[in-house]
Amino acid sequence: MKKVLSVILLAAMLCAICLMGAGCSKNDGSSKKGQLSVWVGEDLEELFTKMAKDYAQETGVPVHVFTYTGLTASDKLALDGPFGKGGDIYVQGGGGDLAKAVEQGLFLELSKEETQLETKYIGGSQQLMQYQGKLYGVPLGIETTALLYNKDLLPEFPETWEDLIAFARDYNNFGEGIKSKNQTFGLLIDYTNPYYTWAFNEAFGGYIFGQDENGAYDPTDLGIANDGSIAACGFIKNLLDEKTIPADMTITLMQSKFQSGKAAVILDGSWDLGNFRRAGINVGVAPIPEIPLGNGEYGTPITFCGGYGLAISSFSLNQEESKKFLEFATRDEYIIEYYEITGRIPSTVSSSTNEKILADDCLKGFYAQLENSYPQPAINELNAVWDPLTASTTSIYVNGEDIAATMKKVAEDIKANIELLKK
Amino acid sequence: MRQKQINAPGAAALPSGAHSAAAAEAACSAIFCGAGLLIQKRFLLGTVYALVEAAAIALFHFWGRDAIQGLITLGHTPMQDHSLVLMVYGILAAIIFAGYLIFWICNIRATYRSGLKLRSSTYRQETTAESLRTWSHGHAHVLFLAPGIIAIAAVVLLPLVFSICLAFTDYDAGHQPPAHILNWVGLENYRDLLVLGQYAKTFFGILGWTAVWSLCSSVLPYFLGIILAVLLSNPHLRGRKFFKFIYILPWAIPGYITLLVLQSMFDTGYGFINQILGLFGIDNIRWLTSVGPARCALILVSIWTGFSYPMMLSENIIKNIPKDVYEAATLDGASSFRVFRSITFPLLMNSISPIFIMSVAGAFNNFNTIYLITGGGPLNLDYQSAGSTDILITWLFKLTITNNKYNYGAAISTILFIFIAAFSIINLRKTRAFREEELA
Repeated sequence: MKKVLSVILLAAMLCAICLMGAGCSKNDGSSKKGQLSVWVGEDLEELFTKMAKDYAQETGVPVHVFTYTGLTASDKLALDGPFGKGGDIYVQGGGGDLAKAVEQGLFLELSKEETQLETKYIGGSQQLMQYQGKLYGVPLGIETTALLYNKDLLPEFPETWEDLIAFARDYNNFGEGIKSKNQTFGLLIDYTNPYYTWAFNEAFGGYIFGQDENGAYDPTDLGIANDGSIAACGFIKNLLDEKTIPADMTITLMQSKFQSGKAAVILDGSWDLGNFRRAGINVGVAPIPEIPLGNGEYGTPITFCGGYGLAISSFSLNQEESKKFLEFATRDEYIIEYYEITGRIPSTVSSSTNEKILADDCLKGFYAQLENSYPQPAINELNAVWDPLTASTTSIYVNGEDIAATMKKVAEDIKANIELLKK
Repeated sequence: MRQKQINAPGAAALPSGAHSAAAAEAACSAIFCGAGLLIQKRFLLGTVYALVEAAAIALFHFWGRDAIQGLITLGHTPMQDHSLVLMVYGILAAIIFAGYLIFWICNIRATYRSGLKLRSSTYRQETTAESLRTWSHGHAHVLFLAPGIIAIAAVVLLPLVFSICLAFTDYDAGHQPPAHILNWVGLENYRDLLVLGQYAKTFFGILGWTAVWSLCSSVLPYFLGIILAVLLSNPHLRGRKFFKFIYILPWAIPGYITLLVLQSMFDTGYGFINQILGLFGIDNIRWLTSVGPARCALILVSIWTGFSYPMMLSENIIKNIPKDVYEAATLDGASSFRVFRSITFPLLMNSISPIFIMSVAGAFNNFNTIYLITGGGPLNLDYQSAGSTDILITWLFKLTITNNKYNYGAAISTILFIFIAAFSIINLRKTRAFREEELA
């Protein structure tokens, strides 16, 4: 009797599992003709469900939203796509992430004219979803670095760089290092991270990779060790030597100093704006002022930007419909709600002139900076650049080695690395 | 009738033509599984084997042939043929084919043995139920092991062979499926890593540090642990429980948290260690940003996280050493150091050696400590995307994740596997623990 009972139970369990499996395969998020499937991260589920409902109402095409965790969109599509389980539209990060995905052939190329790239989107975001001059998605929200300042300590941001330095020197009180209380900092820049300081190199005329007319990057054209770049490193070293910015501080420590109100200005990214506001700091944002190049001229610092956009999978069965959805999804209301959820700056021209956005003058500062901002060159050779460049900051700023020699060595190392990557 | 001699004592006698007849039936089974058994009139078993053979032929014809061809060519059209998918299915087909070969060999042997048994004089025709029972009793171990073996083949063997195969392709950032088709490049990756210029220099440089690291990070904690265990087992010690509790803590706290906290303690400007050293007037040591101090910091950290386990092990072993040996030694006038050297240490090593060797092999691959404390350490511009405290496994992680050089990563991991396997096998066989020796 017991034996029969246990066999029946086992059979029942197996049936239940099979049914569960069968039920799940009804709508697994794969691309099917006549409907769209959109894959987003969990925090965007609500926004995209609303978008899906509105789109279905307007056009009658059903849109289903699916969420994933853990992997990035391109990783998920790389696993799903070849097996026919890939969806139609993904929220994909721009820059290097996009480069890797496009190298695998995961996303569809879009036409710049059709998506109205040049007219609909602000300058800094146009290159975000491009790879080698070709467009693979529309940007949703961008982030960049700029100067965040504490309005309580510095009510009006200085107009010129020299004024900023004068204020910083005046405000600085480093004490005798870590043991002293009541330290105050006028200006915090993380000189060990070339991602932040590359804006200065650009101001002096340095560049990482040269671009041709189509926007494709040429990895053989390295501008890392040109005269402008070397001068820029000297400029930052000057800031360190004259104790305008403190030495021996990591970016996390700088952020905590700003958060506790001990620092007036910090060169940080828009992703930290929320954190600082939540800590109660009255934050203002200003673009980096033009840098005096020493010969009476001024150079514009160009920061890096990053962000996310919408891309269409190349395995999608509904390409035309997906393009229409992309246009729908970049309407003002959705872009602004995307900003409210994720903190990434709205990417369309019309949303940037929306009153809600204009009322927030931090965003005004970021938009001003975004006019002089571009995404990191999203080619694989960039991986060869960061490590030697970061190591050079230790050599130059910490060990005090000769700048020209170090940068030339860095450029040679990067060239050698790129040769090896070509194999 | 001439009796053929058989080795086993008391075995049944066989008629003279039995071996060749059985061999003929085995040959029939070789051509088609189960044919020989059917000829021997073992219908049930023969039919089952024949069905399996038919299924295997069908599987091979409809799927296996294409899968193996996919493995050999890795596809022709980009975006339609996904090289990695073809590789996975090809390896699966190869594993299934290997399983089929094993089945085929078993089938031949079973036919031969059954043929001999049939013709022996003690043969008695069994009923179906009886023969089923005999068969299942004789093959119970196969039945019980089969699910586990299948699971291991799918979950362990398949990925292992897959990553070894990757080491012979050109799968890196510039050749990513499905937009590109992979190619087999043979030993080129190994040649680049071990012989040619930049990568070889990096490989051997890192190998040197890895060897030093694996030795230091296993010997020193064991050393400290054994000394502490000997001290703790001193009968005159008071508050033994308290000391044991403190010394177990590094092992009890999750390693990840420990390593992150230690990394912030080693920070140059604001780290706890530099603050304490500052009280003694020692200047700011750049712990994690210069080569020598970074390596020292790593070894110190490995000692801190690693000494508890050997200490516990040694303590238990020392507890079990008979006291009269010690008494005899003290009576003979041995100093405590001599006692340790001649009695405690050899007995300890007898038991701990296999574990110690395992820990050396484990320290060779100790990813967490290196990656979380220094992240590979101050970048070494002579190395190819590696730092001065990188060990092989952290270097291969960087190559794979940052530079997307999957083929080099796979090649390094196969080299690592060969090292560690060779090292472990050689040393484990040498240790006394593997020989059945008495405590002299």
